[in-house]
Amino acid sequence: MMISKILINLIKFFLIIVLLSSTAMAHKSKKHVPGTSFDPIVCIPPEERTKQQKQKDWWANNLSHTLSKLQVQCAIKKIQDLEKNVDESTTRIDTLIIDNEGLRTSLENSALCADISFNHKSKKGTKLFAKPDSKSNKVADVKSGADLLYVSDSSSQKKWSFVLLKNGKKCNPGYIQKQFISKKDEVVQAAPKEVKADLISITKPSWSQKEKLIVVPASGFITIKGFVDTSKIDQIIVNEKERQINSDDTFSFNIRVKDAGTEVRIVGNKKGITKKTITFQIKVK
Amino acid sequence: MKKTFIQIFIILLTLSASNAYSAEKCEPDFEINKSTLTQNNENNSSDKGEVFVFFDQSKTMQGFTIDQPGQENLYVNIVDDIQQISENIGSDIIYQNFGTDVNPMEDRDVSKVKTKKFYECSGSSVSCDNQSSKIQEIFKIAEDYPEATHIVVTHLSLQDRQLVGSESKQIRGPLTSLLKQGKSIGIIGVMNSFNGKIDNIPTKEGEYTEYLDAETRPFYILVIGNQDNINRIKDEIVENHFSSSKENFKYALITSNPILQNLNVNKLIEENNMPASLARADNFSFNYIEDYLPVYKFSGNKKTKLEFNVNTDQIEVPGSTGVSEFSISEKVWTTNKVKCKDIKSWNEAKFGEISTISRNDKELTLNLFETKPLKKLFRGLRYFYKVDLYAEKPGKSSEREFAEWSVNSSEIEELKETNPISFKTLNLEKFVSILNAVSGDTFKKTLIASFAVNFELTK
Repeated sequence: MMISKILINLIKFFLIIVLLSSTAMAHKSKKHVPGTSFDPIVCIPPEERTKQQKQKDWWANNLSHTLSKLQVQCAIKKIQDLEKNVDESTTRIDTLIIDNEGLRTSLENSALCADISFNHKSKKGTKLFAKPDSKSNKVADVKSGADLLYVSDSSSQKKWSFVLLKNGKKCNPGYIQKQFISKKDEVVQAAPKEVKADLISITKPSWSQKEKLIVVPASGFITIKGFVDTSKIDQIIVNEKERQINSDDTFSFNIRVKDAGTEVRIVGNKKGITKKTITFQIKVK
Repeated sequence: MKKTFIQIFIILLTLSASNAYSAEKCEPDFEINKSTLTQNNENNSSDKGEVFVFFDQSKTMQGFTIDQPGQENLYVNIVDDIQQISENIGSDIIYQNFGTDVNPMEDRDVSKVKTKKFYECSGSSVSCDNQSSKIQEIFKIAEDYPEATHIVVTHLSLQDRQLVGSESKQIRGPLTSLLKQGKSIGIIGVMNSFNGKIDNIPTKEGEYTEYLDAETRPFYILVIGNQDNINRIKDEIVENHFSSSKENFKYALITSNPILQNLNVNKLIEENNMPASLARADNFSFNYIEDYLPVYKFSGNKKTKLEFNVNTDQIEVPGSTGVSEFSISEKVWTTNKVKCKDIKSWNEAKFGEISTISRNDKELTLNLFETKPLKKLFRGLRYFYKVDLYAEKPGKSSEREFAEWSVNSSEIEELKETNPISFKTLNLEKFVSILNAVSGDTFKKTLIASFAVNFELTK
């Protein structure tokens, strides 16, 4: 009796040990979730459950007021899926943050379009395409009257042009059909700040030696263009002949450059008093 | 002795008879209004002058260099011709290109004018897209160098703004100065194949659009200088390319004086300027007084037909604006002695308007005594009627010549919508009209011909 009692206790002890060390005892299987000893949770959706399984669900819900095993498994599966999605989303967000940083850096380094004179506009609402082909990717929608900077005609498709579409301070490059572009009136370019600093400035052709020498490629007539500071000069005289100062503070004149060279004398006056004189040579290369 | 006396008597009689003849007053006293107009009123010199050649380098000109299947391309050959003719008429040939600016050309670039590459724009997209052909700059240069010949090759499409206000003045001012100096402007138009972009087409919204489907389009050669050089260039182009058909060719000459010559100076008035029937009239004769004024002398009646006809080719410079209005200055003297030997004096009659002028494309006709008909004049008298024919106003034939190739800014968008194969030149007619207006301002009333009729009106 005593022996059987000891045996029973040993069996109990053995069972307790076995039960407590179930992990150690659990067999390994390729079906298990990697890194665990569990089979993957399988969720049988309610609509696919058998009659018996639905009966068990009903019993568990209505008599035991718990979830059935299948419902538990589906709930666990859902949690696992959500956890997986969270992980993926976190990874994606991290990637986007990195990309965004990259783009932000590149945008900060790119030129702004705000300082450009947009010489064209769209005649109608249309689209900007990545290629000179209406089947190519759409770059942007172009509203009627949107500002465009015409860059060039397409070399392969003569009815398409490459333009920059004004988009706030930025520009979207792309192709647009020519029929949708119209040119604005002549663009008047303002004097560059560094040019405006001088009372009289020659902007074309460029100086070989500032205010002393211009070298041209051949003899003949050439147009000389320049700006004046109209707050300080109201009359321009070139080689004893008065020239018109335009409303945009520019002036221009044609001069004949002979093979031996030509001297040009520009006098800037304000109310008849000479404020600046430039005398320079134009020579043939 | 008696024989000698008779001989002396005969000589004296003869001399007295001739004296009596010279005392005849067969025509009244009047002052002949002689013209100083010569065949060509320009100061021609045998010296070859400078020739400045300007090629329009705007991108749209590219279309003339690229062949269009099925269309004849004369641009390349005509550019060649211009270079060759320039060498022939000038001592120094200086080549420039122009668009927004004028720039001198190196020799190596001159040969590139016939190629597409010459017209490629190397500037910024904004500046390349804002190209315009500032023809007024060439006029300014021509004004500063009036002795030279200036040749311009261009599409000649001009925006409205170039033809009004201050920009228009930049054309009118130099042109007036040039015409006053006896210079002329020849416009040679050639309808040519075109394979490119026609840009700067104004829209009704005040913007600009383009047209790509033109297969032909005219280009123009403007020549500013002496009429001789202008005609030489025109004739050579016609001979080389349009000898069989002038369908694709147009020409106009803008000059301060579209009058070719005075018919009296060159003694071109003849018997046959009057109807042939007049030569059969009694006592008909045709003579020049003072080697200048032709006089038709005859005996006529109320049915005598008196028409003086002149071919307009003889008086108008070919290709010029021509003359739109002629006038006459007329005077009549009468005497009751029908025989010259009996006439002691003539009386100036105050008939008012006597004759009228009519013209068609080929002929100018003075209908003598139409307003004051012969049947209302007293018979049995001798009449001396002297007429001076003047050119009063220049015409507009050159505008009409180019109207076919011209389109106004208000119509050009509609023209584009019709997808024409042959495109027209913007504001060409307006441009020619400005040139004509300037030539009209510099035009002076010019005596073309003077003649007289001296007749006895019989019963």
